[in-house]
Amino acid sequence: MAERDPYRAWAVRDAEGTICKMSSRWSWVMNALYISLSVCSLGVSGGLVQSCGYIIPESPVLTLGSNFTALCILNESCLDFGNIHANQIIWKIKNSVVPKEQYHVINRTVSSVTFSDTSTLATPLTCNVLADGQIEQNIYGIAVTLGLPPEKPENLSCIVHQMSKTKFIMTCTWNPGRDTFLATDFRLKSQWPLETLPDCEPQGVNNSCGISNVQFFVNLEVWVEANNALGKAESEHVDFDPVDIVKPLPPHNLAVNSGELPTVLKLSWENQISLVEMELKFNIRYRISDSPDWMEVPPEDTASHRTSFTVQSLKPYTKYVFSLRCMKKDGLGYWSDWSKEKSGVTSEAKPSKGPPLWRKIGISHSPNFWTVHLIWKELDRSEANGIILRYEVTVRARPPLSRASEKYSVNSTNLTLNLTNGTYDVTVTAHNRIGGSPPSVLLIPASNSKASVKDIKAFPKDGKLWVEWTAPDNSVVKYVIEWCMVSDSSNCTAEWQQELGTSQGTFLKGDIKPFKCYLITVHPLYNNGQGNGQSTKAYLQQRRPARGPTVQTKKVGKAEAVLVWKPLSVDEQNGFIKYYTILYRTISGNETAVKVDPSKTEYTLSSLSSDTLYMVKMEAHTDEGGTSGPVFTFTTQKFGKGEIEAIVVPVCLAFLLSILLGVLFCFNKRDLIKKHIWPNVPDPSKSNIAQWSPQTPTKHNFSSKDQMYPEGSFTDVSVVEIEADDKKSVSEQDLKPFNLLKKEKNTSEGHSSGIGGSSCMSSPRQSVSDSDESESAQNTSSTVQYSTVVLNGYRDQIPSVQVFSRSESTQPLLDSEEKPEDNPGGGESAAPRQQYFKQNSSQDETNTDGSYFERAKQVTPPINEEDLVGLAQLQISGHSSQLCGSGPEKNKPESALADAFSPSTEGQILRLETMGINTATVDEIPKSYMPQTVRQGGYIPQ
Amino acid sequence: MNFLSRWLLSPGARSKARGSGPELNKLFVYFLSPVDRANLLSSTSSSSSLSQQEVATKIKQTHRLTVLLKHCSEQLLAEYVRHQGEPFSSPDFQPPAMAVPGLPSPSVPPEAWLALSDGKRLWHLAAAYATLPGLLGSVRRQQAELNPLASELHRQLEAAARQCLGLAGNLEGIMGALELPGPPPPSSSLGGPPTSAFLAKLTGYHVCRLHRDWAMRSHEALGLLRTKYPL
Repeated sequence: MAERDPYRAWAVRDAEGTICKMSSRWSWVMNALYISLSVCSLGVSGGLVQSCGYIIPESPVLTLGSNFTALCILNESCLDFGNIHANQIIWKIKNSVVPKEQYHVINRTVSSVTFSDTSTLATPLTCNVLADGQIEQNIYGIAVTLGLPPEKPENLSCIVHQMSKTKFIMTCTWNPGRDTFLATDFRLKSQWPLETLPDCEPQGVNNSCGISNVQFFVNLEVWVEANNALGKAESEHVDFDPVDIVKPLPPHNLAVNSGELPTVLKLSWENQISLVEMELKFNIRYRISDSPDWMEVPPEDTASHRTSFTVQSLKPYTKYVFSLRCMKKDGLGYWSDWSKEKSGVTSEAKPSKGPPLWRKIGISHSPNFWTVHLIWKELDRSEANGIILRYEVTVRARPPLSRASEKYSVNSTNLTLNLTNGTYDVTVTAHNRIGGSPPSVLLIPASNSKASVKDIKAFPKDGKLWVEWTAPDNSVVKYVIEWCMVSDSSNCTAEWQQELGTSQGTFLKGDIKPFKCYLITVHPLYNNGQGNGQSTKAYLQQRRPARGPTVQTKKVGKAEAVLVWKPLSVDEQNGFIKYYTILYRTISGNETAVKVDPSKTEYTLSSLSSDTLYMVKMEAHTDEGGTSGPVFTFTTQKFGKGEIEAIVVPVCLAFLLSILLGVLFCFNKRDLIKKHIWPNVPDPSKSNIAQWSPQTPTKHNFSSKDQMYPEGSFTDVSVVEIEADDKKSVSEQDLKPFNLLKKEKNTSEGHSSGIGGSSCMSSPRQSVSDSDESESAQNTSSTVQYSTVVLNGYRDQIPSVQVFSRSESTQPLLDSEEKPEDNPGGGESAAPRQQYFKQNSSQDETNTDGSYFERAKQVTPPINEEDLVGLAQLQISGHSSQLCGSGPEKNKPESALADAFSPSTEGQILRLETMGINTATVDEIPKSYMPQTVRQGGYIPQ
Repeated sequence: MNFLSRWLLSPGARSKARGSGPELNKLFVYFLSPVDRANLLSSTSSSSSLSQQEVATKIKQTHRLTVLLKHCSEQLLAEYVRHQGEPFSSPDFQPPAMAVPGLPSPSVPPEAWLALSDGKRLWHLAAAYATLPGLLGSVRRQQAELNPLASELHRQLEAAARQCLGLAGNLEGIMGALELPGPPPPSSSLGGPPTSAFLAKLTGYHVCRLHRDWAMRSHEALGLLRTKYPL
């Protein structure tokens, strides 16, 4: 019974480390406490510690997925005591009750529970009873361990590692199969035909094991056994002789010795595995010490057991590195690792080639001599076959020169000779300890008459600069390729290299810098001369130019601009300039781009807007991109070339023409004009009144015209009457009856008033100044108001009051008196009127005369307003100066003319308008000589 | 004394082994030419599990083992002598041949040995190598006490014992393939512990020397056999 003490049993289970899945240690303790209490309460009869029952089987190990049945058997004593029956038993997994369908009551004391799939099981599985009604009492519990039987180990393979000369370890590995969830024991079993050998137990792993006692030449049978609580599995048996699966140690103490020949090295080594154990075969590999590429001695040459080997076909005076490996001669087993590397140097041999030879012919002090710089290159290590000790140079003149051949022995790689003009054969040989090289031959100076190469091209390839050419037809002995870096700052210092006559392309060997321009020249050398060098330029690598061209304008027109720029220097180009791009735009406009050929240095931008600020810059493009130069701004001109002339010249011509016409007109109509403009003014001094006046005014300077019209004196009768009346009948010179005069005045009042108006407006000051110019002889020392004319308004208009002023002469005026000198005085007021007139006429279709200027305006090309204005002024001034001598007056003659030609309604309208304006001056009438009577007299009631 | 008495008994045992008439008669059938035997073998190959090719391979493998064994046994003897001190290590130490109980000595002179039939030779070898592993194991145990620091000697003794055991198995395999009768099971080993260290060393010396002698014999025998069963 003590064995079935649940407490103990559980403790044991726990110690066994089975897959007890208690949720926590604490719950386990509680559970145990509960069980022990229940035991105490039920097991009174059996003593202090007695179980009321137990479960069969105890601590089972179950296969996952199998079925399982457990029995709970109650003790008789307990049955008696608690009156318990097996049908009261409740099975529980952990804390969950197993469904009753899985129970089976066998008899009064035994209840069974069956699980069809053990994967639903967990630990612990407990047997409980409901005692005293519903109080659940634990009877017993078991731990259930779930797992899988081991699978058959697969892929068993073994290898024997040689650990030292006499120690071998056989390691066998296998695939242990799936996880069994159980402690599974793997053992490597082995046996001889008659002898079972001790098992090998893996240490810490389950898939390999090492056996140290390896016996060669006895067949060994090995297999793996896997064992756990649920079963046992055995792998396939493998049968072999361990000597056939050996991975030997590599040979050691490798030594390399140079032999007699410069092309061989002798290797020797020690094998670490005894010959009595196995014969070996070898692999020998070697490489030139500064090359990473291994070469291998043919395996068939080293397929037999040996401790030395002579490697042949090596290059003289070259350092080689060797290593080798071995395996069992019959190919069974494994190759060893490669041995430690060992190097050796082959012995020296004669240089295999003459040094590449070239020359530079310099300028000599004397025309009969050349300075020839012979230059040659050091031989490659592979060609020198040793240390070059010296070079021997032979110079032999060709006929007709009869100079003995000279020999030089030099240590450097150049020699400068001063030779008389002629042809020479130069040979150079390199010498090392063993002997001299074949000679390199050069003809100096080679006549360049031979064929040169064609189609020379150079371009980058594989990160180097490749030159290729088409060979000339003749057989070329060799080529010399010269190249130099083209730069602004330094001279083209040529480097060179030599290529075989059969080659048609080569990489430039040297320090070729990217982004630099190289000039490459290929010279073909023949037996008897040399061909002309052919050149090309190339870049190893291109990039954008260092800067863009600086563009500026050479000439700027109205719609075009000529741009010029300096081409980039070679150092700035960084590549071949493929094209330029000119980018220009206005401040607000889009940028326009123009591609320009790189050969150009000038470009004309056309279709530009006039008088516009343009910004232009230029990009130089190589294959790798472009760089733009600084921005240049310029402004196109307002006018194109000749445009101003095109405008000015016709205008001037038209102007001249109009003047000419005016003059002609004036000439033709001079009588009429004279009548209007400077009519004869009667000389008051010669009048009868003057004779009776005691105080005759001072003599005036009479014009001849005045004198020409002495008949003015017969107006004396009318003068008296007119004095208070309108004295301004201008046009009527002939003597007329007064009423006739008045009538005439009625019809032509506007005209008169127009003249009078201007007279009225005149300021004394102006009168004075203008009177000087006037041809009239009315030179007044002071201006006094001569008269004021008050006109009735026409219809609703208020007639202007016109103030006439004249000299202080108190004489009554003659009716024929005219005051051309007053007109200029009205200049200021006339100008606005004139303007008004102009506007009016332009608006009024009926006024054909008034549209004179308008027409002129239309004729004029619409250049712009200012021009037009200027032009109009020009015309006006022209008119005034020519016709009247005073600008503002200009209108007057015209209107007068118009009146004279067509005294129609037009004239009336004009007159009325003028009068309307004049009303403003009515109130300003200053002083009048005869104010009251004239004003109030209502003499002019029209 | 017990050891010595066993030692002295051994010649008799050897003569008994050699002198057994019925066994010799049984072997007469194999005193035939190789060709005849090959015919014989082929006629009886139905009972054999190995083909002739496999037999030849086995013979070759065993021959290689005897080569190794010969090489190792010489080394072992030298190594053994080196560790035993005087008088064993003196160059002229040549004690008279002494029988080791249970181990047949190769008493047949070399010429006679070569004149023996293959079966006879194999039989002798099988008998010797049935005993040698045990004897070498005993020597190994004695040396572990006498020369506990001579690890290389221990290793060689172990290796020798293993080699002999392997050779015994191979021989049995060949004999089985050739349908030759095997020797009786080994009668004895070195028995109880010797009374003195010198005697133990001396016995060990003789075991190593006999081991070397048998290795030479086996090498010769398998060399001959290999020529008769070429691959």
